[in-house]
Amino acid sequence: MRRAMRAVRTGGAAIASAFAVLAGVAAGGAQDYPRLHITALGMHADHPAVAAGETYHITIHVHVAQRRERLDELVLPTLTNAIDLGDERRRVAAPGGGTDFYEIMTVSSPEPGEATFSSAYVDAIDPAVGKPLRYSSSALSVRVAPAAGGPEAIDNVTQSVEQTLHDVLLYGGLAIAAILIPLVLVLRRPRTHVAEHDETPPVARPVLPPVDPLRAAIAAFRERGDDPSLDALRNLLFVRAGARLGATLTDALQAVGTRDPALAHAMTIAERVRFGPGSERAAATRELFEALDVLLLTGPVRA
Amino acid sequence: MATPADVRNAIAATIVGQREVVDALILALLADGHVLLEGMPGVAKTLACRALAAAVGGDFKRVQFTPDLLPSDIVGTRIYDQRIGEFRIVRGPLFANIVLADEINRAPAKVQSALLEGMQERRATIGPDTLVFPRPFAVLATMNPFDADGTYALPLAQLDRFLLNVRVGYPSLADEREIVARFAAAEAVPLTGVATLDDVARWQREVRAVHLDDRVRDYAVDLTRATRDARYVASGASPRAALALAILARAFAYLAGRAFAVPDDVRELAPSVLRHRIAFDHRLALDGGDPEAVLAGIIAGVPAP
Repeated sequence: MRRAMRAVRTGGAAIASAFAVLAGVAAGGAQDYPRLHITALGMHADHPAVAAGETYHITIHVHVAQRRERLDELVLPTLTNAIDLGDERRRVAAPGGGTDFYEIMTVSSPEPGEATFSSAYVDAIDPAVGKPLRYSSSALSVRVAPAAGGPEAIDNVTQSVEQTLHDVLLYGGLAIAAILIPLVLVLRRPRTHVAEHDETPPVARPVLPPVDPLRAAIAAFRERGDDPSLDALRNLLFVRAGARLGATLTDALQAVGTRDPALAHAMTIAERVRFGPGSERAAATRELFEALDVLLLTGPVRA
Repeated sequence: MATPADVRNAIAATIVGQREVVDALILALLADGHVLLEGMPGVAKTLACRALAAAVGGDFKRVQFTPDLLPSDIVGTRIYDQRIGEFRIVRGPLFANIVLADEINRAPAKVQSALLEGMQERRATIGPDTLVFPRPFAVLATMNPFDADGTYALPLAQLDRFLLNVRVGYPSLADEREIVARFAAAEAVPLTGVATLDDVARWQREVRAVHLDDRVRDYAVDLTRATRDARYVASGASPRAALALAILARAFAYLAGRAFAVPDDVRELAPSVLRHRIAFDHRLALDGGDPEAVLAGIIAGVPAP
């Protein structure tokens, strides 16, 4: 079966919206897969390059040609040099009977270099052929510059410009080749039947209301109350304070200084919730939520 | 009931500045360990140790290590008592609550070994008898790192027995002026009776009850392990360093009035716990590197939880 694979780069952003379907999903348990007609599965970052410690978003878009309330089968990518600070999933009913799902991951990369995201995928039975398939996005990478201000950052800007020029030339050439070669092939042979789902609908960059990662992380911790959601919230507070991931509370308090006492207070209590004895966790958690309410009331926190 | 903060205040009333040294002495007492103080002469190392002993009401002994010192000079010996016609044990200066081993590297290896064995075992064998040291028991050893002539360097295995190694620097200008103003006319007199030995025993029990989260404990292990693969390091810190970080993190939290340790506690203590447990290779000297800077880099390279 042939499927279309498309990589889109829009506005300089490293958008790897791709619709890749690989045959050969393991047969075991395949009968349990849902029957889904997936026509787009893409993943993109909102910035092609970020600074270490900066918060950014990875959006995974899945278009299903049916009405669906949930998409629990979506497997999120594995992160390298990136810490997941919180996830948010949105569902939008698309005109024509389909459903768009947007998984928005708020992440931050602690180290300069490169952050990589493996493919996101959905295993499902394609109703057109009745076989299990793995619908997969392209992997994605994001360049991570050193935190702003240092000489490395200046070097990195230079490298970033050079890389962008290199990318423009490389991908420009590839794009031209990608247009010309199929065109020549199509013109040279008789036209054959094309399956109806060969056409990937153009993937537009989702237009969504801005996500407040802090509110999302608070909501996640309020709902789950476990250590991973607390870690995500604590990491987000540290990043907001201007500290790098892997920093301690002292670093974060020094970074925030006196500019945001509510944030400093919330971070201090989060430390108690995270590392304090289990017998005091419930009380400390209540205190943390009160501190977070104050933090949210005092307005957006400056990074 | 007295608190460690009372002892800290009492020592601070005797010694001007040197906050890191004072805290290290109290932490060692809380964690039931020993401290190695490195610094030039005349920076109040001895006075700090004497002030600690006075504050907790403990028995204090000082031994000046010299090349002709014998193990029996510090452990004790048996002498024949003509009045009773039997051998009698005379206990050495190690049988005290606070022992100051001054210039530890000036005594030969046999004496160092006797001291360090006593530090580890907390007992000494004199003739046929094995005698237990009093509790609490803390050895505060000093060493001058710049005057190496006629000294016997301590091997890593023996340095490893010290919980902490603190570098004692010169006081600041303001502190030095205050030292001269305060002590030029009268000798410093340590405050006594601020706490009791029972208080110390209670503090040590409470320190062991301080909560240490798994991730803080793992951070201590990660820091220790990071010393083994680092550049310029010939031999990294042993698991005893991770143990020391864990118990000292609890003591640090207790001294700060917390019932739980945090990553900051571990990171704050890491230089003092690790610096004397690492052997650097020749490349560091060839490159003109600074061991403290290398250690700081190792610590900074391990992300805190």
